Amino acid sequence: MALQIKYFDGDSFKDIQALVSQHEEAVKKQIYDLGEQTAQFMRDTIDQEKVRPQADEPTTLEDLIQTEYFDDGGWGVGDMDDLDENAPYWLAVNYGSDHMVGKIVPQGEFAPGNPEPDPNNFRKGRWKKGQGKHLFVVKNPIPAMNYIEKTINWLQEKFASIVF
Amino acid sequence: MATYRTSRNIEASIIEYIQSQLTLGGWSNISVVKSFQRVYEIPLDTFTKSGALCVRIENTSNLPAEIGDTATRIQPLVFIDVFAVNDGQRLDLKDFLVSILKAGLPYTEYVVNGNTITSRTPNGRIRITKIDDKPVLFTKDKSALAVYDRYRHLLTLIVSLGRVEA
Repeated sequence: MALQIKYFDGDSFKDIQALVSQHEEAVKKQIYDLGEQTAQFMRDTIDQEKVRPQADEPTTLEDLIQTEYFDDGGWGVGDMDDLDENAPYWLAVNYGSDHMVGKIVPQGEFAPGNPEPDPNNFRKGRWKKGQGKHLFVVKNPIPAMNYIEKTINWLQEKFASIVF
Repeated sequence: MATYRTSRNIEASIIEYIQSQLTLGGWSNISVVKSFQRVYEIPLDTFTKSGALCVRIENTSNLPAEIGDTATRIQPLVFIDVFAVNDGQRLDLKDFLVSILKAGLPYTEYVVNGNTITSRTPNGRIRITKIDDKPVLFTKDKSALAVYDRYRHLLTLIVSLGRVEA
């Protein structure tokens, strides 16, 4: 005779196993769906926290943040090689950087709004190189947005709500 | 006179705690600031080994404390950026920070007048429920980077006051 262990409310291990199997597919589906939700959260974070108007500029960084699904059912967000090639500033936007401070920007103008560099119009326009004949020296570092860490934090909370 | 609310109290408590622990731990020339931009006003000097830390509270999760009540438990996300002058200092500083923070720290409520703190009232502890740390690597060739971006590290903390906010 074997010793039979039961959970405190009387369920046997077999009962618990059956309960887990019953929910397995639903949990897998929720984790799969999290892939696109995670990419969307990251895109939304960038969109909400950018400090300059988008105007008619392409949303290159956001557009590159896509979900890639793997054969084993896993997924990832953002292809780093693709980001390095097409939006090489993705790390500077995430971690902040002063790599531009002290440098003279290529000739251009701000748009929309006042085309000339003007402290009274701070962050009211984007620099469009080649469009105007203005120049300025960059004084302020790029602030850290930490969109990656914020997304990881969000994902951990979502994942915990599914699994536990 | 202004009374700090919870997030600013947490931010200021962490800054003051780190400053005092740095002094006790024999660290000199490490500045602790709360604005990312102010870091870049501090001269990083290899000779005097002056580094900088930036403490920032970003997103806060407001989790319902119980069904049928609007009270919440808050879980702020705190970033600590390490700006070191060499790789050794970066590693030592981040290990030091983890060692002093992992057990939590006193939570203080502040009243300020302009830039002067007029009152400090201890009111519990800040618990650190999670610490992640990782190097910030813009590129493998550090000589191509600006001085501030060469030896950086980022600590991400999830903190809790262990109490319900009415």
